[in-house]
Amino acid sequence: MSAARKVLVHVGAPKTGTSFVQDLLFQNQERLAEMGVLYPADRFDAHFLAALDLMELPWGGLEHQAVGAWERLAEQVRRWEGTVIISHEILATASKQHVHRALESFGPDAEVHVVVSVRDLVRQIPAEWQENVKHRRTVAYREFLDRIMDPASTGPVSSWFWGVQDIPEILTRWSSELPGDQVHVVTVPKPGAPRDLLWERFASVFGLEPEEFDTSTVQRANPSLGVAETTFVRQVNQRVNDGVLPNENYRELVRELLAHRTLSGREGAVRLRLPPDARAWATELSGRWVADLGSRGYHLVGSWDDLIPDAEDESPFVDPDTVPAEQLEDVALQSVVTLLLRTTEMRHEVDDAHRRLEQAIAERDQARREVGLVIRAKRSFIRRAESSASLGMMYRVYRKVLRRR
Amino acid sequence: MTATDENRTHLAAAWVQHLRDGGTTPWQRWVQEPRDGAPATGPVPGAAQLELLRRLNLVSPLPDRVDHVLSRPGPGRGPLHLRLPDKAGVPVAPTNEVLRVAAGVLADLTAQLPPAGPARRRRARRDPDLPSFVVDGLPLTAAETRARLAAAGLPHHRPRFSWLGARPDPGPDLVVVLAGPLDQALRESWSARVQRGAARAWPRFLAHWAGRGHLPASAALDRIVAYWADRLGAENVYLVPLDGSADAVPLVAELLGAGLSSAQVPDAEVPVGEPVRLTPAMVDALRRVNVVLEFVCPEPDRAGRRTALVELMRGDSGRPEPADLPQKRRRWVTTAAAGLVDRLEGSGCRVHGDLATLRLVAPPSGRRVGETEVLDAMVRMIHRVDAALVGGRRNGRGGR
Repeated sequence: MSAARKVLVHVGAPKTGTSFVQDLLFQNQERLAEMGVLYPADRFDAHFLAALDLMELPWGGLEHQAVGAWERLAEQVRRWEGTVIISHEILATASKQHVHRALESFGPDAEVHVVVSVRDLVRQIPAEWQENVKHRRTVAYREFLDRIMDPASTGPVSSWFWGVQDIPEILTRWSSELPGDQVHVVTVPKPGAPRDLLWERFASVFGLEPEEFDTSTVQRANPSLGVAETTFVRQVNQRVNDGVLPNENYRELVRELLAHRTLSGREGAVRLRLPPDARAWATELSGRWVADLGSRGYHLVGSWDDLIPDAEDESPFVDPDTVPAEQLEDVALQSVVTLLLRTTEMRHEVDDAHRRLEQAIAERDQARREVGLVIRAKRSFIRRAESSASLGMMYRVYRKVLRRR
Repeated sequence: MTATDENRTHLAAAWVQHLRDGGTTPWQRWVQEPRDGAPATGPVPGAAQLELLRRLNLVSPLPDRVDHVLSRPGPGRGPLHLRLPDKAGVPVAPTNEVLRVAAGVLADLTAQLPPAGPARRRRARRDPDLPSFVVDGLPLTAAETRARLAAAGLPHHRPRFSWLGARPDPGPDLVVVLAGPLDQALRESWSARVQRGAARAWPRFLAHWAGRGHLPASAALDRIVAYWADRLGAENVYLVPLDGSADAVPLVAELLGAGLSSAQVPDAEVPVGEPVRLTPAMVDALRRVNVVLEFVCPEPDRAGRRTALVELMRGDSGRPEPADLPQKRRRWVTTAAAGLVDRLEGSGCRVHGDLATLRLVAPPSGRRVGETEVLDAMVRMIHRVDAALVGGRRNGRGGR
């Protein structure tokens, strides 16, 4: 790795192993720093707030914490004499003007490299709908597909989807101010590939030796939901939106507790796929993308073939818009049990907090008893000083002496 | 690139130049009329940015703002770069996209306004024979009433503190809580909150509170009454229900024993920093700006610059009629109003008027505040803020 100031900006796309990479980098911050590589983060996804700030994106109230975050991040980048890695998948949706601001903020002497990780559309589309559902949307699967397949659609669903998943456009926006060899495309291997292959590809772009990092400790795999599980969360959304459940509670209880920790990766869950018409359309579009991208001269890590879905590896499509109620029953029961357990835990936390509060009050009262006499005397003097001119004068003199000391 | 594509690019480049020069011809007419193209000098800006520039030009060209408008990405979610449409008969850009860019431009300009704060006012002399008072309740109506009473020589109670800070303010002698039908209270509450930086749209504001099952603080008159009753005793709290046409000033004056008619009360502006009555389109424009202002204007001055923007929004010529309640919220508002009246009846405060008026909810008016109306308001504001900035620079004020 060269000694010059180098900034590697990993801009997504979502659902391409980004959380995994961010967690791995975060867990190895110290080791990376010894190697001259900075991952400036106080949590694994710390660059999320900076990305919100850069792109002026409201995000359910989180944007209040984001104000000024990009400049703070850029300042860390400018101060570091070595390589810096920045990574967040929503950076994929930056406009050319945002990209310009970002690149400029790293300073004139920084050698900026952009890393875009990509996965085939046939896996990305169902995953994106699930992300929509996990972010409180109630749009049905078929409606979602129709909107993204309609080239004239400019609504929020399709504009967000294409903002983060239109790979040629993302690369055009992020590469317009950079030479082609500073633009790296990392493809996500096809299903069945060795577990560490994706990390090896990322590591080669970051200039790291992959085997020096232990990937087994990374928890952030972000497994996807099954068909019935996603439908269940969508139905929950229909009942808790419109002010019923505030965003901060939704994030904790529905997205994290139910979707991520309870319903993801459930045994027997049916994998969500594309219906045949959408699959054919996505396959055809992927082919066009590969033809276009292959001629652009970017540094490819992996294979363009990874973006072309295999024809024979698909099991039948199960429609999440028509899941029978009895298939939701088990999902609902498991969710109720999880919420009951969490409620019990919270009850214990509240009881514990009460106990600590009572203890603190007892200690405070004891302290008051010990110094109470002096304080009461002082307060009584001040009260009398308000109505008595002579005592008031004494009090002012006393304050003046105190200030001088 | 095909010959048609090339021709189109040249036409677009000529249109961009036309708009840069202050032109106002819509894209659809531009492509239909035979004209020469121009050599492309760079990428064509986004369709939403171009349409905003055209709309600004319709009022009057702003040559110094052209580059800013054309390079301003739309904040928040939406398409990243809208291309000019190929088909005839479709709008050059959806209005909501033009609005997004306009909100960004207006927020950028607002961030350059000199911050406005509450004006330092001399403590007005109060007639010692009259009780000291506070007017609370409907936020906009109360602010207007306070201003007019002050202009008529009846200043609002202001807390006094002893120089040692040890003696709490005893509070006013009496409190007048101005009340109105709940739909009006909610509108005033929404407007006041937006003027303090809130960003929810009117329908989402209602959905939020309907979902929570209670009312926002400034519309929850029972809680306001309870607060004052707790401090001063219920016998010193007067609840004054107002119907749409009633003037609160003579009613409050009567309670104070001052005897004033509406004709005797001079018009008075609500002081800077207090919530003012804006057209619904302006409130909607402001709440869109609030979202962006957070990112482009640092905290210490944000509130002051927002207040400066609100000052420029006063007296706008847009449609003042209030926005209608969405049909699906009418039931909630009616039920909540009935519950509110029941609680007020049991509050023990003195009621000066007919509490039944608070149960009434205005019938559907069909008044919708459309995106075009909001965009027009936003365009007027961009011009007004630009003029304030230019005027400020001439006078040696303003700028970040």
